[in-house]
Amino acid sequence: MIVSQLIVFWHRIYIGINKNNKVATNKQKVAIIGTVGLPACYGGFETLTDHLVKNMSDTYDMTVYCSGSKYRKEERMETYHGAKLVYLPLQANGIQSILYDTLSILHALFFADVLLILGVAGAWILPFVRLFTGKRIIISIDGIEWKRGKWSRPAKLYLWWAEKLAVKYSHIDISDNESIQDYTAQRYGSLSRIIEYGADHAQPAAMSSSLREQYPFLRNPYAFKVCRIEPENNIHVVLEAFSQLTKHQLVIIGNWKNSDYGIRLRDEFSMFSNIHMLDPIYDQQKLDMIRSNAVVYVHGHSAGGTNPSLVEAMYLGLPVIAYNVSYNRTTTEGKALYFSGHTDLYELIRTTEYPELTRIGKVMKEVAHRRYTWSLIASKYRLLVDEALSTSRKSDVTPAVTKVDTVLSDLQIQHLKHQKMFFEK
Amino acid sequence: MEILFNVLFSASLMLAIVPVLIKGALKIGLTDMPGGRKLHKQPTPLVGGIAIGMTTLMSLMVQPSGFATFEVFYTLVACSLVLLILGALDDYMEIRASRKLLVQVMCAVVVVRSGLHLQSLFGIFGVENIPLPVMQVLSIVIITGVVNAYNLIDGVDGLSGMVSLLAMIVLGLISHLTGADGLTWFFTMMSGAIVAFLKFNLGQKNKIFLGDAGSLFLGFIIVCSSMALLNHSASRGDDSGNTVLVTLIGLMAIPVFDSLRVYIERYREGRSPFTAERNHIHHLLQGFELSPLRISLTIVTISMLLIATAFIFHHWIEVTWVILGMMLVFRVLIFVLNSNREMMTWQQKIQSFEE
Repeated sequence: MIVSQLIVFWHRIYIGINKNNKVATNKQKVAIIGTVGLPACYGGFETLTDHLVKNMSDTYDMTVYCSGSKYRKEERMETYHGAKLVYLPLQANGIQSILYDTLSILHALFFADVLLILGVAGAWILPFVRLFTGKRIIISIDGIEWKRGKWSRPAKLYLWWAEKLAVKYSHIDISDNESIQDYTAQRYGSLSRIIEYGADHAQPAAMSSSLREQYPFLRNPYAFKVCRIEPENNIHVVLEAFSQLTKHQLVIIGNWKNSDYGIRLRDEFSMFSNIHMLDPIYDQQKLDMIRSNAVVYVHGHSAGGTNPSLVEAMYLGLPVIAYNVSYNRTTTEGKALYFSGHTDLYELIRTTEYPELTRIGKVMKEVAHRRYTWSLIASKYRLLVDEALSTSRKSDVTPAVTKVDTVLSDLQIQHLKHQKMFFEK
Repeated sequence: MEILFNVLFSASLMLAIVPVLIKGALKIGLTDMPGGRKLHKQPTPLVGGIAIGMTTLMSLMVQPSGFATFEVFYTLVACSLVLLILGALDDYMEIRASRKLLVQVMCAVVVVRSGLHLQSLFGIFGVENIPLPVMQVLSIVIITGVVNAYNLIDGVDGLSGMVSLLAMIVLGLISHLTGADGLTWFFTMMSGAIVAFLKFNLGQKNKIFLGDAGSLFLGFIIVCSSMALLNHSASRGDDSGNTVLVTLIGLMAIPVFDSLRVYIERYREGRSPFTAERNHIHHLLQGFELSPLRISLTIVTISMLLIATAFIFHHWIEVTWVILGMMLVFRVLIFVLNSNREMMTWQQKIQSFEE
């Protein structure tokens, strides 16, 4: 069935390309590959794509590849804010993502000038793209995906290898965090560009009375957390701390039923009356109401670079208590509160006064308004697209001056050969 | 029934000999001390090979008449016993690698000069026959190389024993199927001895190691027996020569390809080929957090798959391509194992970035 759908897909695209080629534009063509699709309703990459399209369609001819599995036929659109949408009959995540990304890349080669690839699933084909075409490749490697506990060993090995190919064979690679830039510099010698996420799509919303009726515990001050229920997000640590803080409410939203980990935690902690473990809320307005009226945002992520939910919480001016890992410290500029275990979190919740929380919330808001707006993020991507189009060589992390041996020696400035690199902390 | 008797006979001899040898080894210090690259935690007697050698000798005293049809086998066993003694001395007092190599080469020369050498190259890379002196030199190189390969693979509990056991079973089957029944007895007897050795090697009580004595002894028997059986099956005039060839290459692929890979890597990096390191295939498999037993079983399983695949495919494609195919499979396997090791190393490094 998938094979026949793919054949139909290629036939339609072939006709579509011929139709498009008759209409010449002066704009450079950018294809965004690797996301579930638009309109955005899945995760960080999709929201990023949404905003890139809204901010960049006036400058570039944009095409976004979407997963036909996620959008029913009646939901599908031909264009979205000026970008053409192309649907593939495959899942954008999981094992199918390899074929999904590969076919998207192959298809984009027929018309795009720049391939903006989000994720490394299809990276195996990039050596051939570099060898046989002149297309420019910009790739975002997301967090250090191969390290994540949710993947099986074969999946980790594939992602490990794919990440290497992605960085080596792209013209520009993007990290979303300084710590990941340090990692790519040390492992690959690549000067990765840091572009984080925007957060200004998150808007504060006043709590409605109907929501208070639905969730009576929202009448009292509460801490808030929303995340995928995975061990790396340290939900067990947060729950353990709040199980001892019986006077402090915690509202935590996530997909509890999707894993043994989530089911076990729900069984263990649902008896605590101050802990409210809610299933996913897809109504954005409801979610914004619950989130923006929290007293404090607890962020337990320990992997994955800059996390969209963290920057959104910062943008809303929520005081942040984050897991003490380099990514979170970088995202919050070291100005939030940090915990390493449930004991730390317990003490922070118990002892931090409201004035201090309010102050931290203001600081978080300032940081987010300065660094995490979509106009800023989109402008960085625009600069990268222009850079990719203007050069075929990739930037090296080692300064060029270190390679000019004889000149340095002649001018007696050999000391310039030995420079401390930004990742040598 | 006779096979079962052979197995039980040699196994019983081993069960009787080993405890005595353990006592003697502990008294004189013929033990492998823990530390450095090693995984074991207590001094372990290096008597496995000596026990197998003594069992072989004692069994030969009661050998059936069919064994005499392969006169060269007496030379083969004698040279194996020389290597057994060499290995035991090395286990006891550390002999220089170059001297060990010299003795191995001399034993290979003796066996080759007595008539046991490759008779044909079976069309590998298009070559059938080469001048006799070249064939003899090539045979000496192969014997010495394979003996060392079996020596190097002795790195985790059970591995050398299981690989050798697989070899004896395969050689026993080949000898039976090609009408060399005089040797079938010999290989079943060896199998019984190795099974008994594995009982001690894999157990916690009365644990013993094979030692260099055992790996050199067994490696020499395996490679020379393989050559003898290969010549025997080629002389039958049917296709059994090619079949036996690919089976034997599949059997020895892992030890030989792994040792070649390691030698080439060391040479490329400017290091001595005799440098002791932890980058053999069994070390790379440790990156998957497997127990020594599972590592051994994994390697033996891969060997069996290689044998089976080579056996099936050689009916459709030439021997050269079968060999190249096995090398490619091995290369991909090593690539995956190296990637896993590198990934585990970086996983630890990243923890320091994240703190």
